[in-house]
Amino acid sequence: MNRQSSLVLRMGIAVFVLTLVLFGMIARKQWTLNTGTPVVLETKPVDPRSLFRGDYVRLNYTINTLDTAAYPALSEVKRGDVVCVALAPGKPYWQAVSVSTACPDTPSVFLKGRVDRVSRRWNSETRKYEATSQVRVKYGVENYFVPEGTGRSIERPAAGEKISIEVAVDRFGNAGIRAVLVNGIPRYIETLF
Amino acid sequence: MIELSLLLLILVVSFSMRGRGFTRGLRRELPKWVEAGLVAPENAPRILAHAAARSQRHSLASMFAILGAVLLGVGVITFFAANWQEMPKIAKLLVLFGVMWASFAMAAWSVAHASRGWLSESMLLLAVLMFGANIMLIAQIYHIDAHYPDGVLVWSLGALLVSWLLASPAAFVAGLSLAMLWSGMEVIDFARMHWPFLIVLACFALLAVRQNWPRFAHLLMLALLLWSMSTYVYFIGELRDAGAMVYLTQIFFLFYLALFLGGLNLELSERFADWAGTVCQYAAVAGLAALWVLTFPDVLTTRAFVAGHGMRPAADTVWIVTSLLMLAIVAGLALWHRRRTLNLDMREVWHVWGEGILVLILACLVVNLFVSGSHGSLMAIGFNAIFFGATLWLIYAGAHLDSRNLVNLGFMFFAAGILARYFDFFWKLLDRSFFFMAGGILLILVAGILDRKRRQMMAEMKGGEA
Repeated sequence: MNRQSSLVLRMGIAVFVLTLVLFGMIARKQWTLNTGTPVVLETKPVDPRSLFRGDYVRLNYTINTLDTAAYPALSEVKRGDVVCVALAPGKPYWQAVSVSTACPDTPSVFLKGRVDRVSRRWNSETRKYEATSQVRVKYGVENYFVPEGTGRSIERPAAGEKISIEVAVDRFGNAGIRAVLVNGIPRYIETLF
Repeated sequence: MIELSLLLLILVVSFSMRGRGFTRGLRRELPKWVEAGLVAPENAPRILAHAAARSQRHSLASMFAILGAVLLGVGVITFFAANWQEMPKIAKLLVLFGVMWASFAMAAWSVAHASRGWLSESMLLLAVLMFGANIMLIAQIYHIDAHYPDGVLVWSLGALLVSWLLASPAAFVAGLSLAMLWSGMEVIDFARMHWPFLIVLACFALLAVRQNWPRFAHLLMLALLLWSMSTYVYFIGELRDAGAMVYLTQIFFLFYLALFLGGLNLELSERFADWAGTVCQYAAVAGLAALWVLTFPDVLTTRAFVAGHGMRPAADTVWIVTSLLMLAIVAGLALWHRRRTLNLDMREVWHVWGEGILVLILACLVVNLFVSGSHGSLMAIGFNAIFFGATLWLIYAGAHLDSRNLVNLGFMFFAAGILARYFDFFWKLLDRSFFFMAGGILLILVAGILDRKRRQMMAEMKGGEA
């Protein structure tokens, strides 16, 4: 193989692999959206801005903050640990019913999250951290990107408007935002193209 | 934006060093070639002038092209960051992928046309930047909210792949800088120990060796030292027993010492000799800084650092086992170096002195593991003797290795040691005004003496070179 064909081949491999990685990102998210169970979650949004990615609404779900007293499995977790939160339908929002550090095999709907913060304090007598009441868990659906300057309409809805989020949860516990709902009616719906 | 500015700066510095490095190397080697009869004496100045003009022309063109690529990449990223809603998703994706593919196509075209060689690197860099932009913008379009340092890691690995397949130094620098950014995010934003960085760093080091890019040893060593410093700070924050500062500093000192000895071993290898100087210099800086910390009596007693805990106890089993493991690695590298220099009949006086100091250092570190803080002052005397011995040895070894940087480092740390001891001994003993006046006079005297000695050594090294 001469130098030029070898170069073309190597260039082709680079282009193929990088493109595959990018398509993989899209395919993985789309698979979750297409096959996942629709779950409506209660949220309280705030509106920051990402340097690279423009305006986004930071979504603060009720299930982001879990109490160790209600979910004993959380008493031993530390930052970065993966936890699985089993969900059950409620009225009108889905609720966390149990938490474990190993994801269940049963066909129940569960969300896989990562511990973001543990509210603990240092006990100087036992020389160990003590678990207190709250663990913050992130599920990868906390950011929703919106056109620049429009985040405020979700952050501060008009009087009488209630924002909630419909996410799709696949059988591996991965989630993707499917729609932003205002008073239960979709305002932004996510599509492939 | 700080990250992008840093990336830009590293790229520009790396590429401006590229041409100058070649000319400097040629200037050093050419007299030897003339002496060996390989080059006619009358041709030497012409070769140098030609190389200087060519490298300046090429490095300038490459630098501007790379700056252009970076600016173009940043422009595209910020343009799409505005989440331009009028554009449908499919159009956005086509533009994003199209620019990345077009950059690769331009790079291929410029490689095929030798006269446009300066363009290929900037186009490959643009392709790498576009890959990163695509990761960010796909995450935006599809609301992918993953652990965000992972995106930077994927970007860095993409740059590594491009650099590996297409022998691109620009992609290498971008990829390694991104890996540093990734590790920084994990350590600073998530306050965690970040071992995976070493795997990625090893991949970049392997590529640099494979491509024979010793000029990137600076960036690789800088990355390793920054990582080790952040790891040190992390451990200091996590470990709360009274002796942690002392024993951890000892372990890190041994790590840098192992790196230094590794550098000396590299120098004996034909293939890696060009890497040795840089490895030794960076390891010497970090190693002497760690040893300098251990010369403070207050550190060795731990009085000043752990309020309410009194003095440090002798090291527990974990510290002893870890330290002895590091000691074994250092001793192994030293013995390997000794055997190789003996086999190659390259033993010199500085080798023997170095081994003597090394034995004293290792002995002092071992003893310090088994004594408590009540013997801290005594240990401080030992560590100071070793520190000053090591700096003098470094000056001596630097002169023999023809390394001005090592000589300068030795002088610098020698002065830092004197300054630290002056503060230790006289801060409480002297009236403040006398303390500062005497300190000022001492500093001027030390600076004068050290600078004269340094200049003498440099002149001798220069004379030997000519």
